[in-house]
Amino acid sequence: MAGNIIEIKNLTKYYGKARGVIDISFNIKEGEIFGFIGPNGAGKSTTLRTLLNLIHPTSGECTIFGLDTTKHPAKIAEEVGYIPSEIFYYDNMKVKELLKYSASFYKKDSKKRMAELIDIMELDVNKKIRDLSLGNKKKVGIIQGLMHEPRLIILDEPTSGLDPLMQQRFFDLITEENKKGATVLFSSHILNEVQKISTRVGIVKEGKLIKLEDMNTLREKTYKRVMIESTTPINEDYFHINGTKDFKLSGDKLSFLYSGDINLLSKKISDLNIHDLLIEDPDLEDIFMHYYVREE
Amino acid sequence: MNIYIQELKINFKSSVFYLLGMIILAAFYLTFFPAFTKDASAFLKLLEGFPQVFQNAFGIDLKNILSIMGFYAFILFYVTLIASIQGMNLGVSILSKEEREKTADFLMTKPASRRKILLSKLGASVSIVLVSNLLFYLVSYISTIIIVKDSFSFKIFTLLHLSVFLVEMVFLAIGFFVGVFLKRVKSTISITMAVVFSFFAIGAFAVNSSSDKMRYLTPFKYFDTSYIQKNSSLELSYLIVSIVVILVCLVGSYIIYVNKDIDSV
Repeated sequence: MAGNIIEIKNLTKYYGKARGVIDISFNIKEGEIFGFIGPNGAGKSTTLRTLLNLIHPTSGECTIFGLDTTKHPAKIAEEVGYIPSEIFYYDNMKVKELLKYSASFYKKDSKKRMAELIDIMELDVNKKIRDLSLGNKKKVGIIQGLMHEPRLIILDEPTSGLDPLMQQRFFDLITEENKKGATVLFSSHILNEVQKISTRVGIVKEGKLIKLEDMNTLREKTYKRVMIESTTPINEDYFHINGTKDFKLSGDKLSFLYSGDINLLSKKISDLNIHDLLIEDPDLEDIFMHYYVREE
Repeated sequence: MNIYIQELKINFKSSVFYLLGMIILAAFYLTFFPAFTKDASAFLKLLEGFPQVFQNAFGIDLKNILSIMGFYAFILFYVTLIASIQGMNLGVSILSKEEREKTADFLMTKPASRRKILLSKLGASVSIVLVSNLLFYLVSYISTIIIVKDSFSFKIFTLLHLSVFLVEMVFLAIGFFVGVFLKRVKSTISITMAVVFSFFAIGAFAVNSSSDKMRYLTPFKYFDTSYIQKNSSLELSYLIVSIVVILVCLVGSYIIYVNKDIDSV
């Protein structure tokens, strides 16, 4: 059984009186792709930045590779690749100079992997950082974060600024690194992006971890999204049975979440004169909303 | 070593600019010295016309200004101002660079401890100050020999330059201490100017004050050029004060730098 790469125990962080995160605990096993989801300001970045020793915990402790993140940050960083949400580098440097400088921090020779990544990302390394678009800066961020083939990849809202094609390439890259053995911790508020690659998720709300779930279990355990289009107007009350919620009625179209007995639902539907029917796994948006609604 | 080299590269251009500034200023004033000594009495009379307070504030020492070292000390009064601006701005900018330019997330997530980052930046700054001062010292020495032709005390000349170096080091350390608190400032030169000219103004008060203790308040007055010329040495008490200020500022910067939180961009 794989050991824990990250262990977070009762992590609390306050910025003066302002809440960062409160009593967060979870572990990430080697080889996992862990999605850390929550809205802006929920505490995702605070957790990630504490792991990276950019900020210091008020209480609690974090370990990476079994080492305390506050005591051995440089040792840990040798095998961590971090891609921040917003990329800022030294404006006067050329891309190749920045990448060379980045490589100079690691004991490994990362020239080969750097060249491969430059190729995949289609990046012009002779340009100055200040002349790069947001998307191209992000590519530099991805290359510098992955070129030393880290054991742990930490990504904070990683796809912002990338076009859909590059996003796909990026996800392929992360999946490829994961197959090679890298563990991935990945924060996002874009839920279907987490859904694409994560094997497990943690949902954070107002500084607290409210759910820790295997991705498949989360989908199985939770509601189905039901969408019915009828030839006659549907009365919303008709479907007020055990296990339904989040009704959205628009003319002859009704949509709701359902987690009860599927036979009971099918009987109800069969009594209607329907035009179209769709029953599907909810996307993370729905799952996410479900937890949030329940908490409130 | 990589951070050290990177910092040297980043600060190379501005360091050359400051060095040239100091050299041009010194050489420009030195060329006046032969003419000045030729018609010394008229020149002295002119300077005597200025109020004593004004003479003190602007480094005019009538007792010594006719000698080459006295005149040279007058030049170094202004060179010290440039050197102080260089030292202070270097300290402020080099330490606050990552947070001001939002590159802290890059540098501080690399396998380099904050201690190593700080020491590399300090090493680069001290190297720049040291090399600038050495080059300035050498060029000034040669220029003085060529332009002035009079003999002068090598020891006093060296001690006068050492005082410039030490004052710059004090400002570098103060710059580090100020820089460790800066986060959202785009340009550091305005902060540098405000601090350096405040100390310069205190210096003007100190030199006209009846109490010698005022001198402790400004690095510009730690090394009295008249004392150096008279005794061929630096004043020990002020030498100790300058070293204490340097150490306190650097240790304070270190403690804050190692323990501070780096805000999200």
